[in-house]
Amino acid sequence: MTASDKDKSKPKKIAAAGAAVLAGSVSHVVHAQGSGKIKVGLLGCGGRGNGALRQNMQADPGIEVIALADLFESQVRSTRDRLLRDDKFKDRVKIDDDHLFWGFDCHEKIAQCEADLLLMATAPAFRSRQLMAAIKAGKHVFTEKPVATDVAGCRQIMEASKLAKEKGLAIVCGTQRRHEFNRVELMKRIHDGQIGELVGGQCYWYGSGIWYRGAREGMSELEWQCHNWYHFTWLSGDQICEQHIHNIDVMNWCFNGPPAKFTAVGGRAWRSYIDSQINSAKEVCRKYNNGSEEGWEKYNGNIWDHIFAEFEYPNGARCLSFSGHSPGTQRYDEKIVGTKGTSDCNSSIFGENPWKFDGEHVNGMDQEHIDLVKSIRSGNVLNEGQRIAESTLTAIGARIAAYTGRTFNWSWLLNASKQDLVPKQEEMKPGPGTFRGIATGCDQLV
Amino acid sequence: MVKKQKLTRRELLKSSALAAGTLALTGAVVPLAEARGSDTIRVGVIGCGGRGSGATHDCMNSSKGVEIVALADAFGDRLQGLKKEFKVPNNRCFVGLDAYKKVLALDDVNLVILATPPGFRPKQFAAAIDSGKNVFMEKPVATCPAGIKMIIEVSQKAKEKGLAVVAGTQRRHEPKYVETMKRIHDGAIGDIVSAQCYWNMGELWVNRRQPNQSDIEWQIRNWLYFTWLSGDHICEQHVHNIDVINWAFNNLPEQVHGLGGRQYRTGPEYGNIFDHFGVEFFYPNDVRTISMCRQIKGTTDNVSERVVGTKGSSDCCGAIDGENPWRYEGPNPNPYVVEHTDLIKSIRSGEPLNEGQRIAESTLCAIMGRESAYSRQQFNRSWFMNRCTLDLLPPDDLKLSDSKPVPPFAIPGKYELPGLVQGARRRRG
Repeated sequence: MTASDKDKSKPKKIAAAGAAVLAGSVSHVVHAQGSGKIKVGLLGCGGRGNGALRQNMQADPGIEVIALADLFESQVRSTRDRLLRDDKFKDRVKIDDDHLFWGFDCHEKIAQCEADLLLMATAPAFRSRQLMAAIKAGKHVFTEKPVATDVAGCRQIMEASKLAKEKGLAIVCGTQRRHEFNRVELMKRIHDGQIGELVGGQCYWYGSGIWYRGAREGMSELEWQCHNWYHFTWLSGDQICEQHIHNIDVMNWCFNGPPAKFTAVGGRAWRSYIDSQINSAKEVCRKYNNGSEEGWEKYNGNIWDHIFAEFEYPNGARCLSFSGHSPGTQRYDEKIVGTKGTSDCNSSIFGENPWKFDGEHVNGMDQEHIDLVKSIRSGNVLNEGQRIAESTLTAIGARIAAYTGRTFNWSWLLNASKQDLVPKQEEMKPGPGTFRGIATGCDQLV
Repeated sequence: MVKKQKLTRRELLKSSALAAGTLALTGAVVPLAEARGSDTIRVGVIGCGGRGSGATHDCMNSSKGVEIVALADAFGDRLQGLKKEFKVPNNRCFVGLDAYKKVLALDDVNLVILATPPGFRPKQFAAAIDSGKNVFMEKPVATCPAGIKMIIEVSQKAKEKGLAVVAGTQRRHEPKYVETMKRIHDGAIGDIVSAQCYWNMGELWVNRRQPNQSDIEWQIRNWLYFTWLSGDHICEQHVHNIDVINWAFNNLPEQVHGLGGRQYRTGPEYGNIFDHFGVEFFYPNDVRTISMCRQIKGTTDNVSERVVGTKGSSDCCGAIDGENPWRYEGPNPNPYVVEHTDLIKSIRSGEPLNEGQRIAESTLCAIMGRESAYSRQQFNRSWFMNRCTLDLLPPDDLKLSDSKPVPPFAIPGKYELPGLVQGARRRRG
């Protein structure tokens, strides 16, 4: 950000500050506006959290990191050590010992510190309660995707977003495609009717696989599950929710909202037969099962390895969502089909009104932080909460349709589903994990 | 509005000397000549199970002058129902894996119904055409590319011999489909840009293994659940819907990418087939379509097709919405009977229908979907037809007492697609 950019944001600050006061916003929101320092706390110190923090600090020189939180103490300490060794950022690392938080309630502690902005990058299961705590405490938020793993979580995100709007707080989410200039320009044209009425579409995230993490010394079973979170539906939301949400979000973007109806098939074949993962699962089993391998399957997780879903949007268009992990052909893109043309959902339109984006390409993962911080400084905050809750719920809806084999509509999912997979906060303490069996394809619809 | 080009041409040919000349030149054989006009259609039924019996009744009900004169089945007990009903004499009822040869050897039989498990179809079809019989064959017509090639080749031979070949994809004979397709082909919905088809249902019958049954006897009695016999349920059932989409496009997909698995139906009685598939077919101009099929109890049913064009959409069976809205309001005769009416009419008129190539192609698409799901590889149809060496055809000397261990169900990364060279076939449309 240049100096003149910062100057431009100043006049807005005054007007915005007035509005913020009227909306009952708390004092540090006002602090974050204008050109002053923005104090940042990071919640979730894994790979994505460390990446997001750097991308955030890069977005604005006025950002200082003042607090870190994670389930594990070691993660918090090593993250601070690494930051202090990083020449690019170390001058803006101001983390006191009493601003290192760990444990299952670390999100509550970091929400109470004097940070203006919290970056959230823990396992998705906890996001909704973290977001609620942060918004209640008056923090701006950057949150990684997805924002929930069950229907109850999505509803809580929607509530928190509403509250954020009332309080004038920003919520930006790590679906970075929404911040790429090429896609933003393209979507304007699609929404302007350049490819006609949307009648079909496809989106894909079919990859080769994911890590499996064994249990470290001293970890309880629950802590190990949180460490190896990808493999449990209650923690990650399954691959369709955790990864494929990016592409699903693009589909929803095209249609300007979520689908009306869900149908899906899917299953788990490969994950149950990979030798490396089986051996790791057996090792973890021995650790928690007095050296016995009996019942090792539950340590192999319960997420599926493929889901093939159909979204029917409100105008009747039926779109494909194709996701999973295994050897085979890999695909990671989108396509949208209209009555007058098609688009790659990236930078091109084909058909009656051909177009190709020739502007500047930016890295969406940087740009989302630039847009967020700019919006905070201007006082005209971005709030992507409702939208990312809807896209997360879209992915969860497809997963539920696949797990149960049942077709249902959006309004049932949003209003009537009782799905609630994440243990209550008071149940989150070191001890046995939350194990559910692998979905059968005809699980009960709740 | 309705194009009657084909029909008109056929009517013209019928009355012209040219048609007779053509037939003579291609050397139409004796049974065809006998079957012409009001001559009796003498049917041999090969495969007397549920579908064979159903087809036999439909054939009898379709036209006058039809007689059931010979029966064949691998098992004596499966043959009893039709034998009693149609009073077929003992010396015309044949049992065993080679029973079909004995029916085909009967000179008076001029139409055979092939309704054994699909894995046997290619060789039985070839033998039937060799023996100069007209053929009604149930779908699907093969379970592997080797079988598909055989069907296509033999269909060509049938054409040369003037023999009729009709397949049990009855939607092709159902007026509401036929009338809708005419309009789609005439452009009522514009260019097709998207399509979907489904066969999502609960469970089918299963025959658990009995004591003292050989591998082969059990597998044939429980044929739905073995890929070499049924082609898996995407092939065995969903071929109907895939065929409709091919019909709408008047074309075949160029590429396929599928997913699938065995999530609910995991017991040994279910052999080695999957219980769900989700397949994407890529038609020319990168038009991508959804094919979804499932056999899992308690799930939502949906057996249907849908095509979407630049000017509207259609359910393929009586409704067009969009710029040219239309509803079919004509009669709805039983299509399982109509397919036999059309077949017998075509034999008697001397202009035999030949659906062999077409049903081979639709079966091929279903097999491609299956193999893509088994391997999770995307590939081209041309690769599959020309380079894939998958051959599940039963050996000529197969015996009921043979042992044949059930191959493991497909697991991506472990399942090998025969003829696949890694990295050779990936191409985006």
